[in-house]
Amino acid sequence: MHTESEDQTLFESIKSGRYELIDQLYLDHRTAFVTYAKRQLYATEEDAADCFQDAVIAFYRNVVSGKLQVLTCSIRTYLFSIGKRLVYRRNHQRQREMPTDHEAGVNPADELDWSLIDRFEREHDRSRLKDAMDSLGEPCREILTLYYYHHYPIESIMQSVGLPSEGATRIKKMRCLNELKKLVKKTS
Amino acid sequence: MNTEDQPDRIGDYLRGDLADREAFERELSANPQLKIEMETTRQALDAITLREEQVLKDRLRNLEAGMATTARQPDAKVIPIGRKRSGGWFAYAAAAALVVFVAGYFLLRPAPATPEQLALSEFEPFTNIAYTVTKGANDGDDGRAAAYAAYETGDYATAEGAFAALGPDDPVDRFYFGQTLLAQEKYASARDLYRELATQTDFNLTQESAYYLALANLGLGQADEAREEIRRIADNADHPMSREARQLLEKL
Repeated sequence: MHTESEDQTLFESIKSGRYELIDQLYLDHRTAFVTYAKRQLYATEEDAADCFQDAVIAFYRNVVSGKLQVLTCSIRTYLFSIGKRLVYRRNHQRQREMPTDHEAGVNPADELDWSLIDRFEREHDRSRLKDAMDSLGEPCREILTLYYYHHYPIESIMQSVGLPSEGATRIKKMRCLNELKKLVKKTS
Repeated sequence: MNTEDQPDRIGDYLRGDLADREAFERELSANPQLKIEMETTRQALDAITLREEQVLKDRLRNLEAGMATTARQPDAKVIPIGRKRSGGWFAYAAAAALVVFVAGYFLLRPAPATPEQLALSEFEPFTNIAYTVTKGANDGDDGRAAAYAAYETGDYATAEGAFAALGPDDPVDRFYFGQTLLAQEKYASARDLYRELATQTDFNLTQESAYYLALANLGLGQADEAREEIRRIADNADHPMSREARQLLEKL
């Protein structure tokens, strides 16, 4: 179990863009979650681990996007709340027996972007969007990923990609986005 | 508004970075073309998210696969390095001092802990799976929130007091109360509590309680009784604490 200050340090590091720390999140809390999901939510080991992977990614996305700005509970509580909701959903999809969610009121998992999850679960949309992204060359893929997913500032992207100025990076980013939009339109 | 800036504005709006979101939303409802453009941009950003999350997912899947297949790596072969002899009398003096130190250590060290004490020293309290601690959101349930918050931070003395104040009604709270007692090596109180919980019907932590009752007995020095119970749990593959019991037996 992490102390509050350890959690806070980890949270700030993730916020600053250290995506590789998701490994630590996973390793620190995975076993406890899987045990819990198997015992209390009737999940299989595979489903529990898979849902926990998605929970860690959702947590990361919420932190870097600014949706989660202040840690109001321990990271474990947050991850468990998200993971639990994902297991409920998985159980429902598998028409497995579903325990009742007894936790009413405010829940950290309420910040989950369910519309995004719904969109991604439509197989046709997934392969269409994947094709568009695969067709986009580098460095466009990297620029757009760093800016729109990891929320890196323009200055960092300029250095990562090796562009001469922030202005040039902004223009490049705009052109890359237009290119991706064209590819998305073409695949629809 | 400069139309060249429009893709950036849409992108920033979707990224959550646009300063005047309300003005943009008004514009959006009045301009169907802008709405279409925003839908395409949203799909483009979905494509970025989908791909990157696949990258992160693959990363975690690899970790998971590594956890499943982690076998003990063979010990590294130690190759002696030829060292130039030097130091003369100093080396002999150092060796003699080391012999005296080691002999002194074995003669004067405190009595070794029993296997039971050693095993219990590694006790890790049960993960809080009963209550979601959310700061500032548990105003109607302050006592429980305080108990579990202290429990999660490892402040077992405070947690013990808070759980005690909750009363005997909820067996789940009592179960965690017992964990605070074990964590502080208050084995007699823990034994009484888990003895009661281990015989409860319609309580989903009954089996876990039986395991912790055995731990409490171990702490009280009733090793034979405890070992027997721990072995029974270890032998039952369906018991939720079977793995923990097997590990504990190895240490004993």
